[in-house]
Amino acid sequence: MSDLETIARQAINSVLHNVLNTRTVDLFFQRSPGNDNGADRTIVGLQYQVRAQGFVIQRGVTGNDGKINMPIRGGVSTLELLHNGSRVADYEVRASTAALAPVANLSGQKQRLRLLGYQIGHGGPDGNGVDNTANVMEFERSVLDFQSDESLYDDAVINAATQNQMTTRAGA
Amino acid sequence: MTVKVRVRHDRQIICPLRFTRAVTGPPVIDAPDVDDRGFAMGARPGTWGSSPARGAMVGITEGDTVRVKLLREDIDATAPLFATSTDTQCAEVMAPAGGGPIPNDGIVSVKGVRDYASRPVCIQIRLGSMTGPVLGELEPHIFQLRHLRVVAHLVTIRGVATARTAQSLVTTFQNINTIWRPLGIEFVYDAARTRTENLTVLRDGVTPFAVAGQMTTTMNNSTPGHTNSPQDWREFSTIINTRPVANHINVYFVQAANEVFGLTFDNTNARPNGYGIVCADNATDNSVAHELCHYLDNPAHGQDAVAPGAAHQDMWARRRLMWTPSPYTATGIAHRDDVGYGPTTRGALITVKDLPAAVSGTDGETPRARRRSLNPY
Repeated sequence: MSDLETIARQAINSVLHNVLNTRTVDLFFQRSPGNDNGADRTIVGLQYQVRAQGFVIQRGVTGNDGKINMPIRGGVSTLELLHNGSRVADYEVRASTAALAPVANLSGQKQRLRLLGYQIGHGGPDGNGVDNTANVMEFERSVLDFQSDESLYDDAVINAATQNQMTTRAGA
Repeated sequence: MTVKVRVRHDRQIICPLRFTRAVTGPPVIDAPDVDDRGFAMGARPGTWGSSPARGAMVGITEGDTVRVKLLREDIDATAPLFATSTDTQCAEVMAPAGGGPIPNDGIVSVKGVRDYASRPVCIQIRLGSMTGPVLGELEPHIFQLRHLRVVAHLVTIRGVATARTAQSLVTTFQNINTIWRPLGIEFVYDAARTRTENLTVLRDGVTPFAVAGQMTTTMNNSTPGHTNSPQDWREFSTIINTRPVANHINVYFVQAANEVFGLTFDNTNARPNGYGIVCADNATDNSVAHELCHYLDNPAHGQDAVAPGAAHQDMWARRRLMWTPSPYTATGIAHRDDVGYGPTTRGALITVKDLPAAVSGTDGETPRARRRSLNPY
């Protein structure tokens, strides 16, 4: 579930107003990649807060689904994982409204693996491992992980069966 | 380091951690390779019990303390992480003291306390403290140590002997035992019991060995003289039937072999064809360990295909002890040409997971070898 809302703010007696664009996306924290499907792989009990434009806008603890409804304001929010109230890890979260690239393309394959939580490194323009570079160790490893987890022949060859399964699991 | 997340399609799964081997380079006895092939756990022998863990597996000999390395793939490098065991009577976290924080190098030391049947244990990595949420997990398997007796035969063929000596084999078997340590299997080699064999003719008592110093076979379709019959390996059969010592694994060392570094029949091949191992002088210690894995009920190779033309070329297959050959031909792809053991050198991973045949061909080398080690001679 996600939504994009535009909130117009106007102070009393002001002739100016600004607009807050808030997009909400679903983040799932898991011990292993792939859709959970009730396989007991979620990370439960993560304390977190979401910071945007200098303000904490949300706090919570992950439940049995490991899910965080992450609001993104002004294009970027920071997810801060907490322990006993102290910040212990940060995620800079941005959202793209662009469709996934075709699964036949290298970048489309990397986008889907990344979406599913496979660990493809942090190269590329967005720092999340998604680019058009072939023969990257982390990418081959994640393809093998995916094939193995999906009971596909684990040879790192991204054939039609692997592409179809990537599309199915990513939902697009 | 802030982890950058670019959400597409309004949904993103984040999996922060994974495990890997603690070192690179040649095998080290307290740093076993980690079977991190996927997060699914595969089939399990009945004695392993069921486990909800999803992640890597590693074998540990009972009483040993080993190092594994935690990789922070998608979490800050500075996030305080702690390691705990779900059952300290099976496996215990020895370092870092108190379970954490785990140092920047990611090294966690785990002791295999005891080999219990049907009592799976899990090393869990937690955020913030020993009671924090579980971010990732490793399933160790603890194995009671079994000793398998080996006798070596130093073979001379038509006057040309192997260059190996009883003393040189001491180091060879030390290195082999380093590779096999995670399985709880130790090959007991006694230099004083090493035999020397002088061979000139085959078992028929007439036909001479084809080439002095060499075990000649014609198993490959392309080798001249190939007959697709036992004739193709009659020199091998002659060698492994030479004064075999009962209740030992018999390993014969020759100077050369024309088709292989080593060749093995396991003990399901009854005599007169016989069972045993022949290794040439160009077989590395890793290659002898590879042949012993064949001997212990693992006939397949890491690259074997489930369909014609689909042989594995990937980095996982090359990391397996059962990949062949080693050294292998460079591919030009860096992570395939060095899988952590040196340039074009296959690894020493003996698979712990038993992934379905449709996924990886023959797998589950550790449970297969453990089963055969109960009846090895």
